[in-house]
Amino acid sequence: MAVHSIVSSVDPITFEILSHRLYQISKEMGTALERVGGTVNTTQMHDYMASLYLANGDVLSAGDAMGWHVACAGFAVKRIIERFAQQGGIYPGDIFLLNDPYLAAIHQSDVYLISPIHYQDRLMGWSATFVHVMDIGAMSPGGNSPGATEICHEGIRIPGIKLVEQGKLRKDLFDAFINMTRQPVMVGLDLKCEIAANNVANARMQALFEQFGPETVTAVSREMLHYSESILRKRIAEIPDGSWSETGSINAGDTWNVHATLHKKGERLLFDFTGSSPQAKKGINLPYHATFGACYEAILYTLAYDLPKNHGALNTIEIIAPPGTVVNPTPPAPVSLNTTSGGATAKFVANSAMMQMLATSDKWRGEVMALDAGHRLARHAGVNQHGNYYVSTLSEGALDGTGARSYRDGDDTGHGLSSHNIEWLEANFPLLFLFRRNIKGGGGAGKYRGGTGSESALTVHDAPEGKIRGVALGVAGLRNSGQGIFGGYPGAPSLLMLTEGACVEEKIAQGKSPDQLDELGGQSRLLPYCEFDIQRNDILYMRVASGGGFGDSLDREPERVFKDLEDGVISREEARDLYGVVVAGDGAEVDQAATERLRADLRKKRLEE
Amino acid sequence: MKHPLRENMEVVASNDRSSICCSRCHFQYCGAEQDWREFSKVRLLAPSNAGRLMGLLDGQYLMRQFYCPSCAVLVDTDFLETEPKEVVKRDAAPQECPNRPEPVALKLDGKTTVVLVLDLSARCEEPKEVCSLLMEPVGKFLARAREAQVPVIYTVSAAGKGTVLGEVAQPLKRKATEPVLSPDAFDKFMGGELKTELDKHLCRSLVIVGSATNFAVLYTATTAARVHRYEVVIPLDGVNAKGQYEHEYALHQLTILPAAANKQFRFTKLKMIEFA
Repeated sequence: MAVHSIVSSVDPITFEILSHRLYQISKEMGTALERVGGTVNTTQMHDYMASLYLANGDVLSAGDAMGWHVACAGFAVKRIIERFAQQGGIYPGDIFLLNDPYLAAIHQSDVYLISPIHYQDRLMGWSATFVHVMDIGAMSPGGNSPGATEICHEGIRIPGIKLVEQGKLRKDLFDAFINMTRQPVMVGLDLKCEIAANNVANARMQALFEQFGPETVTAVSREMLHYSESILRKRIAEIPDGSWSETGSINAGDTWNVHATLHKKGERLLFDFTGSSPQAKKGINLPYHATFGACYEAILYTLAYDLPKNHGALNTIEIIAPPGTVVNPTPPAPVSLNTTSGGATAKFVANSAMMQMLATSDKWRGEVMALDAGHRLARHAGVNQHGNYYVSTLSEGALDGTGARSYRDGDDTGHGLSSHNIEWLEANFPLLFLFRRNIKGGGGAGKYRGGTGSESALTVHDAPEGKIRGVALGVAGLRNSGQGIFGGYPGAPSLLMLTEGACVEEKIAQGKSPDQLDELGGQSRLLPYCEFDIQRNDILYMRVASGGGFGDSLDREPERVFKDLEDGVISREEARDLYGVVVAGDGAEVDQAATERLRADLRKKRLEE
Repeated sequence: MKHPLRENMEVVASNDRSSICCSRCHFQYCGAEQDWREFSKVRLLAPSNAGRLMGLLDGQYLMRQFYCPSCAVLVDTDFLETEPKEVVKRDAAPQECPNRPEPVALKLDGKTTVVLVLDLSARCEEPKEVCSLLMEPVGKFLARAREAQVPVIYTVSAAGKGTVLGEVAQPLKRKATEPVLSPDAFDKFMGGELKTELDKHLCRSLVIVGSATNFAVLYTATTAARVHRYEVVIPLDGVNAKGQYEHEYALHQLTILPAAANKQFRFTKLKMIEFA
């Protein structure tokens, strides 16, 4: 965290101590979620959020949580204040539940639990968490419903209830909620881990107030926001004024575009989504507050990555998202697929515009990197080998390769979330993974290449019903994956492919490893947004996103290309065609003279055609 | 005064004018208020030029690249959806064998090469059949292949069992050890038997001869290249079809297959093949 340098009424040492303490409290809330939670989204993928808010709902400390959920939970706190200040009251020990996407949540599966923090009966602030619950009673198991054409198809939608009343769980509401899902026990665990995390926040904040006094904590809290906002405004002001645009698309029969133009003037940033497609009758739509959150996240992880993550950053941006579009839908537009489709695309365009802006600044151009426009992923459900019905997810998308930076290659399989452990998956679900490995030739070429993503394949194994159900989601189409920047090439598209009637069991019976799809036969098809069955001898192939490249591939150091060749990341043909690098006949080194000649020829060809 | 605009591009201000320039060679693209893309050198390429795995986008998108018109440094890569009318226009344009492949001499490793003879059945002994034209050249080629210990595999029509369609043409002088398969499909990989045979010989290069170019050759060669990723060798005088049009459009199709499958093909002539 940066050194406190803004003129302040709080002494700098106390500021630093309390600022870090608040950050650690939100981190500890996350740890509580992981330790108490029982579902893989929380315990292995870390698909959750835990943060602290001021009494009015402004973000106080976001910890390491996903930025857009931090912003959306802030909206949720404000909606709870509006509703319960008028009727029902807000008391110490209360915990509220909200998952309405037309109020604050991103989609119904992301359930927010929000708790007021009182000290000596005075409302001092709020804690909030979300986890992505395993089921929400929607059309499709797991909540993401490809067939939904309106939000009423997408499960339970709660505008705000008091789930815990002054420390006592409302068992009637709790049971009513979980019994409307396909996985009442697991969803119950999801809710209880959120209750635990909010209780941790409350306990730690009480200790903080006791130690430092409420006045000092309040003063530091205000100062933290002022500090982040002041520094951020100064940084924005240093960048030349201008406008930058980007468009991302989702293709599933129809094409939906998300378009953003970033206008920078003085110390303000305006993200204008005018030009985005009308809202869809498909759950890719992203509610306004989530679009806002996507832009907030773009700021947090670029210009504000080293500042306390709080409402100060929010005060520097404005958003225009025309109503009735995919980035600001109106009811009853469905939303259940949105986090990994409309949301991923909104994040991509907002961040891409930011990168173009940063590139115009001598001070900030080093922070530029190629960005990911999303990937495909799936959920699965059925009866497992232990005879129990289950719903779960396949988080292969967490194995994306990251985009190249302005100074180095992207990371291979280095996405922000964590992926599932395969042994754990096979022990709990009727699945057999045929392979999970890095893609060869996946990363986009460039002066610095994109990180390569993973590819994996699975079949069903020991499934009592002989099949399980899959749900295909993500950014549909072939223009997902990592996008190159400043001449860099894109990463290989992310795919979901189902091969039916392959000879997996036959291959295994022969004692051979079924790890080459070409050898397994069967009929293959790419999966759009849909539900599908995976039966014995069927294969679900999942290729996630690879990172895009940065800059001109002919500027890449030949030795780096040779290393990629040696590491099996690219082929000899790709070294020649994409990078203009010739390997000596014995394959032992780069033929420098031939490489120079080939690169000169390739540059000449660029201008001739 | 200047500040960067993006990699290899900067805004330079002098007197009362600001310009966008190449930061590598100082070429002046345009004024700062103009769109530098309009002043760049532009190329449209098939997406498979971005790598083998981008081949899926071929036909649906075009890759557009922008270069400095002076030093040719690549400054941007983006993608355009191909217009449906563009595709129609391309298909409808009068063309005389577009992408007519040029035969090149090849030296093939006899240890990893297999010759596949498609549907040259006893019907080809009838002079009225176009495939009869292949008897002599293919027969001589097979003799050379056998000398080099290169395995030969035949296919015949599944429906022709017990008729002339079910027997290999005599002029080809099939050996008893050379298998004859009869998959019931244009794509002779159907059923998996052919792949099993090829695996026995550790096949990497598959030489395909036979008839007709626009049926068995087209579909079998496509699977060999797209699904199994063999190096597929097509001797232009070792395959034929009922008409020149059918023959040439099938060859053309092989040269434009998406997903980089077209890059798996080598076009040659029977006499230009040498076995090492």
